[in-house]
Amino acid sequence: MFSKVIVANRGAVAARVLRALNELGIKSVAVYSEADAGAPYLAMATETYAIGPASARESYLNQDVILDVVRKSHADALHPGYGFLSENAEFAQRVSDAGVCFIGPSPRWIAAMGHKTKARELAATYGMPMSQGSDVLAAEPEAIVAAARKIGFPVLVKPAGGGGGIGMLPAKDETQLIEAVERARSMASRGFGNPEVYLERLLEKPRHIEFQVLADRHGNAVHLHERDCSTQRRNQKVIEEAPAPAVARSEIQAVGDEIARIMREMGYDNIGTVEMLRGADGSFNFLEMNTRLQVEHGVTEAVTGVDLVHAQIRSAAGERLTDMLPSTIGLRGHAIQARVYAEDPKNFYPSPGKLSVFRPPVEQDVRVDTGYAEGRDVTPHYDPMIAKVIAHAGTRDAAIDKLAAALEAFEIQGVKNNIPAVLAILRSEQFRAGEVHTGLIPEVLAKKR
Amino acid sequence: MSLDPLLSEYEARRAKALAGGGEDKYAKRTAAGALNARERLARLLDKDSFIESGLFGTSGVYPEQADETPTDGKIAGYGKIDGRDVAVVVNDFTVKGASTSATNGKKVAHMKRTATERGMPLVVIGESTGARLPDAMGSRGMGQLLGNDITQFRRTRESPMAAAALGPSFGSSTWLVCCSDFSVMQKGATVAVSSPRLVSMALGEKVSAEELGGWRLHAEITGLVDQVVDREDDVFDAIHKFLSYMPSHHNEAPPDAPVPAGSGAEMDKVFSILPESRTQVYDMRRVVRAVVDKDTMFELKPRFGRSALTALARLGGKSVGIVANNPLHRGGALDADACRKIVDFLVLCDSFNVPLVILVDTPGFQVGTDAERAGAPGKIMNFMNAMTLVTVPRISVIVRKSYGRAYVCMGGGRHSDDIAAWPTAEVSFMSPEFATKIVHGVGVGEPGFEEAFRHIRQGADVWGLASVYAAQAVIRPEHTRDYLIRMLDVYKLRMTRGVGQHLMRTWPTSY
Repeated sequence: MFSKVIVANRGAVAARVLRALNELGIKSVAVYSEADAGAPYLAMATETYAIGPASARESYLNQDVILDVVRKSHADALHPGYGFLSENAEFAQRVSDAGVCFIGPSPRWIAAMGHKTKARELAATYGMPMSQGSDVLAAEPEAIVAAARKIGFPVLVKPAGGGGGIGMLPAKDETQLIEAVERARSMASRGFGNPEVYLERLLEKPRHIEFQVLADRHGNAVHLHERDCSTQRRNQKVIEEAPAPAVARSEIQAVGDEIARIMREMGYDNIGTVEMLRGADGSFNFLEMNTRLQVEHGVTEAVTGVDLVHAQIRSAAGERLTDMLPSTIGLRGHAIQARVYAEDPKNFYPSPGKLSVFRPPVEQDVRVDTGYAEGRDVTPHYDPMIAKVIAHAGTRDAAIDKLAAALEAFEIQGVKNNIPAVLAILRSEQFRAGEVHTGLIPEVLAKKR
Repeated sequence: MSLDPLLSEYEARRAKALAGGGEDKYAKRTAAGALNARERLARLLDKDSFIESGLFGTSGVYPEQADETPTDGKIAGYGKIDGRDVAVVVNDFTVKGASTSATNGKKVAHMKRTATERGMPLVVIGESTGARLPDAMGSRGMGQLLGNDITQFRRTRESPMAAAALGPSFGSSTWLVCCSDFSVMQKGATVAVSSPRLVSMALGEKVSAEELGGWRLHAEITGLVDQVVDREDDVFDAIHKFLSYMPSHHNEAPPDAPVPAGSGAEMDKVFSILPESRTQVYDMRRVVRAVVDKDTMFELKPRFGRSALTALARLGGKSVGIVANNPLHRGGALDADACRKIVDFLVLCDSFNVPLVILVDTPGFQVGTDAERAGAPGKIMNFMNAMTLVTVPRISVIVRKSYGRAYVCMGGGRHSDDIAAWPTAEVSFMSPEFATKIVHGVGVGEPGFEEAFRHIRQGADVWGLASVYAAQAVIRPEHTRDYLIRMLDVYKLRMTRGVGQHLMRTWPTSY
């Protein structure tokens, strides 16, 4: 096991990993930018290091500065959290080259899954279920039209090198295709420095259902069931739950088992999430794989009783899955998480400012993960998520009620936040009935107006 | 008394003038991969055809600057391109950034005047920092230097004008790009009112040259530039090619050229370019390339308003202007930019006696809030008005769709001398999906839609148009080229030897 681990992240995930390290009796190193000096979770770390200005590019994304802390602190492992450098293969390699364990999969997996069309190709060779998609599109308009005709309309144009739903544009027929491709290319080029785009069949009212996987360095891999993250705004998740509502368990189980088999055959070797889109026709289609801990991991922890961060760290340290997981991974009740963002609940624009009041709810079976405390500033430098609230109960209805009650009790002043919007979703008939899909939020909010 | 000293002074002054900003500056540009002004001149003109005007001009504001201002930064004169006379101005950036001042202003004005009055094209090769300072500073500077020549930017299109922007082209070089008939820009050049430096001083707005006036902006958003090229050499090729389609002046027809071997060879396959379904798209450029003389399609503003296609070309060795819809973009629906682009082109062709060929496949004008906000109705009426003012021969071919007001703008009714339609043509007031809903009250997917839709579609077929003589011919697609060549000959302007009335010669140079 490791003796000292550096947590190369901030906010809620830094707090989460530091807690796990303390529980495992491992010394911890936290880093912070100027904007995060004095953040509450820093007190949980054995040592802390300042890593520069607020701008993420100069601090949390600055590989040289972080590697410098790795050397200075004599840590023997690094946990990247999620976001920032967590899916940067070059960084993972540099960490390994420095003789330090990168707590995540081997860099080759990060690289393989980071490029969307290459990840699709790779997954397809192992028999991953997926919708029709194209290769990276050629420049000639006629080749683009031919690729789309092969898939059939409507199609979605997606950047090959990106994520976070940025630069994805639909084309409902041929007349919209070339403009959509060109706009997506220019957005991808500006957003990710890579203008490559490809096409996928656009599913009608799709659901985002993802599978948590865990693997070790000894060729073992399992899945820990699914999470339904369909409730999104602008392709970013807002509400996540497990198990997925209104889908037969046998159907989910079959897909999960297939994914675990593929992970074993590929030789995947740490934590990961396989994201799938489920069409209205019931088909599951590979979307992408995230090679890191997921923001919504707490939902899975609640229903399986498995501490995913412990397991991730232990797997990276060379332990076997059989030594850290129960022989069968059960599902207990229903868990649901809301992401609380400092943003305008109507137009979703970020709303930075000082948290003059910030009092998370304290209730039985409600977990709040946050990196903030009353009096702290929400700066425009980072993701505007300020907390995750996870409710766990025997049934989906009870879990929704519990989450709604907890959100109502959450006192926040000084920044606008999305709690009113989340409550509107939780209370909508469609959500209650489990009729979730990725377009639900705009639908519900439009009705409300 | 010997005249030798006078001759040696002449030679010394000549050498000094030809040296421009000096060896060092020239060498630096060469190292950076940019041609120098006299190299550009050599590249532009036929060998040894240049005769210079104003070699010994220098600063007209500060006589003491004579040494620093050879040619006053702008080289002017006359030469030939493909054996035809042109007037030319090439800016020399090594001399005070080719900034505009008194003497060079007079030189440019004289070139423009000669080109206009004696009937030859004017070519200006730009790269400039704008007005020269402090020459133009203060009320005295303004009064002396600006606005004393009302023809400086007057465009009445007596003879064609081509302009190039190479490198930073602020001030005059940008103005000339905007009032030319053809403008070409090298990637990396900047076409803008003022420099990023001045913009950041004036507005505190930090902006890169590319954002402020780069090629993408002008090729895709403003449409102010007709062509963008990668290499400097391509700039001169583009100007040569443009002028090859143009007469020297508006009182003659454009020159003929030999018909290249292989022209028309693709006509057998032209019909297969059309996709099977009417909802599918294709690239109209392929149809144009097949129809016109081999390798003569010269597209203007290819990245702007792309649901329209405008290109100079030749048919049977004669210059033609092609106006077409390109279904590849928005299904060929015309937006405000597409209208601007077509109007620009109609003005060019009509002003210089270039007959028009119109290839139609459009579902109509773009509708919706975006279109209205872009002032689409005004742009559509400019287009409509321009079509009524065209005086050169024009033949239109309805390839597939032709709907609504766009049917008229694209040469429908008497807005063409002759209309031919392919058997695939469909003409109606609105697209059959909507018409079915409005006429029969059933929408897509509702019971009875298919039958009602078939009925509406049938009413839109080519035979209705032919039976009321609104199409003068229905032709097989593979006969299109031969038909056009023949009809352009039938409708040629015999009484004026190919010269039109130029009713739009004073229309704006951009809209």
